[in-house]
Amino acid sequence: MLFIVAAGSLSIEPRLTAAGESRPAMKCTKCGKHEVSFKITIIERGSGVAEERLVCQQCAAEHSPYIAKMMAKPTVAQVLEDLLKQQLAQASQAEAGEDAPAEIEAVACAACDLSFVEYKASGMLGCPECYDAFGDPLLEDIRRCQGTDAHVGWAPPAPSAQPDLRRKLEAMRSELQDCIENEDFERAAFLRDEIKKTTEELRRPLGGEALPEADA
Amino acid sequence: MSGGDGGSLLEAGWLTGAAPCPHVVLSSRIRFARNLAGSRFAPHAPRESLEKIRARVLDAAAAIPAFAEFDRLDLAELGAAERALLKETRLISKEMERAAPGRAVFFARDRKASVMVNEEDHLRIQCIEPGLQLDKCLARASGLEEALGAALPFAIHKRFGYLTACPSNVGTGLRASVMLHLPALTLLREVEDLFGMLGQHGLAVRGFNGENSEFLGDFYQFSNEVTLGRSVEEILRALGAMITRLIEREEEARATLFRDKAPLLDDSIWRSYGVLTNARRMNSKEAMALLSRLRLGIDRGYFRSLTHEELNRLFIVIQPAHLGRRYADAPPDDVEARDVSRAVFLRERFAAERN
Repeated sequence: MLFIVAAGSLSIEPRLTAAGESRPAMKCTKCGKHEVSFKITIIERGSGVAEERLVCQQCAAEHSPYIAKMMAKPTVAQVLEDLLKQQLAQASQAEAGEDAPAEIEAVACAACDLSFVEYKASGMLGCPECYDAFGDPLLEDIRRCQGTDAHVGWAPPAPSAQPDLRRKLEAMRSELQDCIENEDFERAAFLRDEIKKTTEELRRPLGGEALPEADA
Repeated sequence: MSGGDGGSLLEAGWLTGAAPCPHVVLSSRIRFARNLAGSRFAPHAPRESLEKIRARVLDAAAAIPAFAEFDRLDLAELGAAERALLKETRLISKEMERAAPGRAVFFARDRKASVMVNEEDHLRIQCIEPGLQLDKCLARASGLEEALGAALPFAIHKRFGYLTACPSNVGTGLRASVMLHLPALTLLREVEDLFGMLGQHGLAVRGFNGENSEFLGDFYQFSNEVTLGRSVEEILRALGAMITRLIEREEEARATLFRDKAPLLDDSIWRSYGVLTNARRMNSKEAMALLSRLRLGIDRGYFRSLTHEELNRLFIVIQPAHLGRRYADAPPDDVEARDVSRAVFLRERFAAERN
């Protein structure tokens, strides 16, 4: 006859805390299906032999009424996620009338599988593709924190682009550093203009182009 | 490229050298955030992907002449104490202090430029200089950014520019910041009135230790908040104009204090000196407040043997990890012992100053 004496301590957060950062994904040693959430110590009645096992939430709940009860209560992460969903729903409802909030929740990036809700919870996007995948809700986020929604500037030069021009630019930059150090501000001002001109010659304009139509 | 030896590595090289406007400006910094196309952003990337990115960056850097004078450090090989030292000298960020897979940092020999790999973004290219020298930082950082960009495909977007893990950095990926020492504006309680005008210029202010930190030692870090919709040049122009204004206001405030409140101010400066040379316990907040008065005292013509550079260094070396290295009996978690060793250190440092 087996019973559990201790449970817990491996956190119950969902996967959005940077996969593989400190806790590699491990499968439950009992069912082999789900991710490990608990370390349980099982003591054999009579002999007192203790055995530690890493199990998933479901298997842990089967072992112990205590864990089952704990699982019935929402975790902090779940509460937060629910709250976020609620806020998102309210925000989008306020804007789009009765438009279904469930759609935003369901949006996930096809390239990296991150959902919009997971992005909102961590504040970090999953990959470059997310910028297109999340469409309008992300655009609103960007407008909110940047006050605008399109870049103004230059793309990096192609690797093969005009090596002589690049060398010239590099030389001017290092000369500019020296000029500033030696307080030769006249030469520095001239170099600054030249660097600007050369950069524009070397790089292509980037930014401001319309987003591609999002696939429904 | 090699691991570099402990002593010089931990030196805050950016404190040294010519520093324009040293009486008000501590340092200038330019940082570019860049990511590689087709890879997950670091906060959501699995270990293998982070390690692959690090390998690609190391390969690229090995072929770039500018990186020949850089030392490379795998943060995982360092202890917590050394990482804390690097953070206190501002060579790595608070985020980078945390050990995580796939992380590495390149440091230029003069310790004024660094490239962090797999922090919040795949690449964080940073240059710091003492005093007001945003142009110089930009020239160097742009050179490194361009060289890396020619070797590695950066994630760019036709509308949003350079893509970053957090949308608050998207566009230019640029964070330009200047650390100002504003003791007179703080004393006259004018400094917070100035904060109101930052927002409309897309600028923000932070404390000595960056995001969400307190305003310690009358230091204020001003930076661009907006990274999108303005070119690098525009961002720097707006920040530069604001900094010029703040320097002028601080100079006016100092003149006012020197003229109208001289006895009160001098008393405050010399009392600070008195406490620094006699106290037996000192927390870092108090130490920074007192050192701030001494910094103002230099401008007032006192402490002739003390330079801005030396004083600036003190603000770094009184921090916990630095004290821990100097005094073996002040471990990082023993606040009481650390406050005692901070007081010892400052007493010894100033015992010789007399004016």
